[in-house]
Amino acid sequence: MKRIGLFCGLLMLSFQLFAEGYQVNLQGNRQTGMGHTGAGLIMGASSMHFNPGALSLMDKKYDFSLGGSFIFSKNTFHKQSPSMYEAKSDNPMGTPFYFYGATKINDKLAAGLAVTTPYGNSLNWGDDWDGKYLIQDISLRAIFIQPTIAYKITDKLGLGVGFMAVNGDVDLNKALPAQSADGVASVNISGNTWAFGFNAGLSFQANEQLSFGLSYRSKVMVELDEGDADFTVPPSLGGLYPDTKFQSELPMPANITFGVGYQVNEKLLLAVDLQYVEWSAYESLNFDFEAETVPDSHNQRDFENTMIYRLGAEYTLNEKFQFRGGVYYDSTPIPEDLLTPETPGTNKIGMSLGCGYHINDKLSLDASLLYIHGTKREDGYAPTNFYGTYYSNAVIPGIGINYSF
Amino acid sequence: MMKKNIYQYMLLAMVVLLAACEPKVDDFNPSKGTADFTKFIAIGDSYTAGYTDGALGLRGQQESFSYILGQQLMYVGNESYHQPLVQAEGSVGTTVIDAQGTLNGYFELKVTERGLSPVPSVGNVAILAEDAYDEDNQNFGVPGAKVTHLVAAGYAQANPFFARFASSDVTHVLGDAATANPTFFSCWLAGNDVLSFALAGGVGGIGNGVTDITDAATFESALAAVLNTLTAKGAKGVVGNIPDVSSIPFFTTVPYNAFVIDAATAAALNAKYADYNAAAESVGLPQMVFAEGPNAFVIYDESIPAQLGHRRQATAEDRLLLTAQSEALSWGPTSDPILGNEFVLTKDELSMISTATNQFNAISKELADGFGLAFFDANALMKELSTKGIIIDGHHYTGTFVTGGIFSLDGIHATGRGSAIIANAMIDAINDTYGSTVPRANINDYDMVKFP
Repeated sequence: MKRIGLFCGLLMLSFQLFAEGYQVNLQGNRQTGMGHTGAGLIMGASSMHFNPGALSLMDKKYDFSLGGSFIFSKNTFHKQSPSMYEAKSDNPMGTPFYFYGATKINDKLAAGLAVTTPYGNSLNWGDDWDGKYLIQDISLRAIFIQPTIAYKITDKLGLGVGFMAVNGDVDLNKALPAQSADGVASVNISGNTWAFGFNAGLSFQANEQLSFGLSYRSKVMVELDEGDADFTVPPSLGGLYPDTKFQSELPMPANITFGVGYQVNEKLLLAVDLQYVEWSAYESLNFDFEAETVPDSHNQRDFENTMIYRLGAEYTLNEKFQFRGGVYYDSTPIPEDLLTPETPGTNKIGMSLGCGYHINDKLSLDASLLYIHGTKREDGYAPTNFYGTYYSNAVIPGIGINYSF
Repeated sequence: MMKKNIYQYMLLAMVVLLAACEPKVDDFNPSKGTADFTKFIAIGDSYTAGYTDGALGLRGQQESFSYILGQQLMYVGNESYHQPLVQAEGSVGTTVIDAQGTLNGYFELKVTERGLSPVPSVGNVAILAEDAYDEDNQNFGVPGAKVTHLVAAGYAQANPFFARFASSDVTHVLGDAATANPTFFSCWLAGNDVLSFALAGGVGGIGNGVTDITDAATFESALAAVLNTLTAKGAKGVVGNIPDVSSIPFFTTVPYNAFVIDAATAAALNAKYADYNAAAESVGLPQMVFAEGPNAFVIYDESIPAQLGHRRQATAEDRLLLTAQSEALSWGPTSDPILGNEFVLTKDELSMISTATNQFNAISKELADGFGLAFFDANALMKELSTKGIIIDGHHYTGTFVTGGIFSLDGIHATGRGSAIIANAMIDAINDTYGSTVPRANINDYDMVKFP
């Protein structure tokens, strides 16, 4: 495991630059401990996110899982050479969470509800940093509420589908290039809305040792029709920049994940996932303001589809303890010259550790620790000519509780 | 065995984790290349001095290009940047703003009856009487100075801005600058050699008068003298050239046809110029025609025959000065609406300016190359700004008056940000020439025009 992990690490480091958008893959602490693999595994209620097909193959009557993570992320920006300028973001702690509850209605049919937060972004560069005209701070959050139903076609094959109701919330601040004696002008953009999508999955238990899974999560286009734009401008410009409404939309891209699980022996489980993220749905970020005097804002994004490679392992020490480890490589969807400080993506290497503890045969705890290393990326956003080298990393502890019977 | 590997892997991961809680950042190391930046001085005109918003004051001195350059050069060895700082409150310019002869101070953008407009504050003449001489001075920028003035002994007696910090009233600017023993200098001082003529609306000719265009041979020998003296002890430096008037808002803001009148005024003017039109037709010159709405201004033009009153309507080939705006607004019902010579650059005058600018810029480039100095192409920079603009760090800068971000409220001198952009262009030229890596200034740290 160690050799494989290191080898992959080195291989990935030698890749050329590029990052991972605003996706948050922390939807189960057992999976997170294993490099967030899971599409090819049968993991009870949490399968609703990873592969709803696997839900029908769960072995308990009732299964509940609740957990969350604490994202401590850091971004550093060093301005394009020659420059002494360096900025460090002061990101608020991100707190993605999940809840899964599922039950077997009969031998063939299982149903459940998943509440997850697979997309989000939380970044604060400060009001007066050098990229303030691009972004000062942003908070992006999406909560997915997903009723799911799964059907066991044969003892080996399960199919599941879920309906996703998504609550999207955005709040961002950026400075505007106008000054008064009181300081720089700025705008606050905020909004909250609902959007919908679906997911589906097939799970196949080939034999005692080998399982396969294929999972699809649809794109969800979060369309904001009545967002609020609040301008803080010098009084003499107040007539041109009144507080107004705006329209905008942001895609939560589709995911196709193929996974394999391999039970090497009684003690050791290995998992591999290939997650394809259709980031090309994110072509531009546009704000169309209702007030005619406020110019609309059109910002090129042109993200590219990406693949995430995941490897995970779980070692069962005894009836009480399980230890987990994993690595993944997440390539960036952001093309050259379109890298913004609002989503300073880069190719990322994730390394995770985890453990599970069975308090009794119904109740268990999972803890995970994920370290994400963003490879340094020297790039920028051509339309506003803001270039430099971005560095990032994140330490993400997480904890979850499971109850099944 | 598997268990042991997992522990090792965990240990490894923990070590990586602890070591990397802060992203590791590559440091940028400034270097001086083949130049010696130990003692930097700046010699030149109002830009170098820190003149902005129509006046000289402490605020402008602390955001001039020379100050910003001096600060950035400290990363590569420059030890200080001492300036003859204004000690009194406020600022002072050279425009008389009332019947008592009061001089202007900084222009301020204010909401007036006609909308947002730059309004001069009252200047503080005490600034002109200050004694700011200090042997440590490193800023030898003199508002109003032409290149020929820098080598003119006794210039302090003619220019109070130099008298403020001159070592004596018989010295010249170059002499004082040389005494500072620079190892590195900026020399951007050529603006007034054409600008003085242009700012006066083209009153004057080629010569040494205040509003004349400097003769090319005189320009060359004066600039050569400056560079020769400053490089005599091995100093290196950067030389700037002259931006064309077509890229400076003072000459581009007021359209030739911004004379807006009602139908009655148009009819009256048409009647008034009926005789003119008959005479003009007989000598083959264009007639004057007025209609309700925007019209071409009537301007003074020396070349129009006296029988036609040396006047004609402006065309797109003429340039009106920024001052034409307030002049036109001062016209009452009984005024003769004509823009005098001092408000207009005619096609012929523009041609003289353009010829001289090209000559001077060729001379500057040749001398800079000859002395092995870095060359700052101010003309190219301003042209780019005034045409497509320049996008820097999230903002699109243009040469537009008030809102463009570069030019201050006098329409000629730079804002803090404009100064930083100039300083960075000089830094790029310096790095190119001397193989140094002087860090650029952060444009967004400096001020633009402040809105009320």
